[in-house]
Amino acid sequence: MQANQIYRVESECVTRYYVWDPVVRISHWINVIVVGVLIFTGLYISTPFYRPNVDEPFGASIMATMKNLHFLSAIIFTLNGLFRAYWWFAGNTYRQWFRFHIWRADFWKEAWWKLKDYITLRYTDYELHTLGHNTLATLTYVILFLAASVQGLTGFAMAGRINPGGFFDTLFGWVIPLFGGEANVRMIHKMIMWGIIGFMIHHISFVIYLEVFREKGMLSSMITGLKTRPLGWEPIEKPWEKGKK
Amino acid sequence: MQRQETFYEAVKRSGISRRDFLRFCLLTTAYLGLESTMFPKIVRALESKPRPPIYWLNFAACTCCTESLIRSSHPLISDVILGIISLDYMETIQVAAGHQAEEIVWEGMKKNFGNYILAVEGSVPTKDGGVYCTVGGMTAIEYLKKASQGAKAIISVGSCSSFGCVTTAHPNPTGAKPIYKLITDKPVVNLPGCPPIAEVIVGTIVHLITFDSLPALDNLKRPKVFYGQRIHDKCYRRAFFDAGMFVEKFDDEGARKGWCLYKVGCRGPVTYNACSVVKWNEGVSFPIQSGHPCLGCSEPDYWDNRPLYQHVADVPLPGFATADDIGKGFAIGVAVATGAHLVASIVKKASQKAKEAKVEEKKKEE
Repeated sequence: MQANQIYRVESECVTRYYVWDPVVRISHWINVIVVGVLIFTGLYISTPFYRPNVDEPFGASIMATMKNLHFLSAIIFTLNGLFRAYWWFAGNTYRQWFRFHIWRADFWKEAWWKLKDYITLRYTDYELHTLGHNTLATLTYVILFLAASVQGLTGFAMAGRINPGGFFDTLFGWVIPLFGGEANVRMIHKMIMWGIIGFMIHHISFVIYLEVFREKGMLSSMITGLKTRPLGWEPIEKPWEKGKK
Repeated sequence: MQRQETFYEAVKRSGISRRDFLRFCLLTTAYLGLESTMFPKIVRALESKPRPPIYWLNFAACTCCTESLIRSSHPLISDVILGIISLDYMETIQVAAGHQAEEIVWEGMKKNFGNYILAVEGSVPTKDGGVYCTVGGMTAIEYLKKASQGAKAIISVGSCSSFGCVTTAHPNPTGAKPIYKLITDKPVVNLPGCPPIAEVIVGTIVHLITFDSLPALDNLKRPKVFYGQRIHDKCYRRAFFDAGMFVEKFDDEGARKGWCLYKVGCRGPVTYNACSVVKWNEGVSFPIQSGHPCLGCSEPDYWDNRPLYQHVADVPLPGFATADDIGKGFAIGVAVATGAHLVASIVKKASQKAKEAKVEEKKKEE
């Protein structure tokens, strides 16, 4: 654990904290690759935009390849997600950084305060006590995780119907009547994909912004594991109360 | 009680040879997905077991199921179908009419109480006391409830009586409901399709006669043997799908060459039916073979999934946009909002820095 390491950069002194352990980082980058493949192949499966230049079907297997890649990536994504869920409890992230206390009023107050902070461009100079995720981010990631779970359930339910009564169908067959038919399941699968794309747009541009302009080391933390805070920063427990005063 | 004639006796009476009878038995065995060792069992059952009377009730429907059943071009099948179903009451083709017909049905039902099979075509309007469909002076609900009391099993023939079709389409002014929602105390088999394939109807009935039980059903009460797989998975154009060769428009080269109809809205991938296996009219063809995308007529609420020439996932949500449109809008919205927010933040920070620089300059000057 390299916490509280002081690290000197050119113009000023900053403190760097070791936040993300290797498991989190590796699983994040696996997700990047796999979700990219899933979105690309998924878009192709839904609207095939490329036609191979052949006259007979034995000359190509584009759609079949796309589907196989989609299923393979989905399985990797799921296993990765399951392991990551386990790591919330087993890794250092949960105990140390991850606070998901939705039953507490403070959780929601902080989330609301942070949201206002972002929207109004206030960017208060004082820092939250959280190094990992603040509660707003926590909430977002939990919703993202749930969305990905629904995505997995609907996806495996549809894949299971290739072989009715088979392994996936037995495990996930109940999803289809739950959403009222396979067509609806497909629609929900699509909607969640767009939701995840929306998240990715925001996520990527924001980490770049926080890396480059706010010097929080957001982007590099996913590579090195280290997050940056100003030297001698003072975490503040309930910033929304301070804001009122 | 007089002895009821068997199926074999009935077809022999109408002039069908033993050879044709055996051919029918073999075909049906194959359709039911049974082993060849079951073939003698089917023959014996149809030779020895009394033909169960079937009462065919027509409620709110278009009679296309009847048409499907009686309009098969092959003489054997049509004779066999009419032979196997001792259609004691079927409004479309019976000779008797009026009070006479009604007498036949109620007397017959009393006589065969607990033995007859009820085939129901059409859904049952339930709004305003069910006045939107009356047969013989009774509302369809009363009629169905009364008729189902002594039924061994109920076969919901067609999408109307299985899941709801035209009659239950939005806004469903008559409050029509499929049979399985009204009759819960009797075994109900759903044979969806608009119309269902004649072989599917007959196959189910043969199964009922031979084994005295319903065929294995899936969670929507459809016989697994006919509705167990997607049309897509047994489609002869599947190779074109896997290769990525799609018909883009109905008159393009791909359409002439018989490529996959996925992009013109074929619903084979979400439709469960035996069309691509059993086919229609004695195995002549089925929609996709004729170059027309599957409309998914055997799926629940298929009329509400308009327009029919689009994938259901691409169908506009109430009024305005498809799932993809909404999704794209959402993604673009997020992109614009994020971009605007970032630019504003950067500008704000830059101006703050400039101010600070000025302040420092002033300090220096001082």
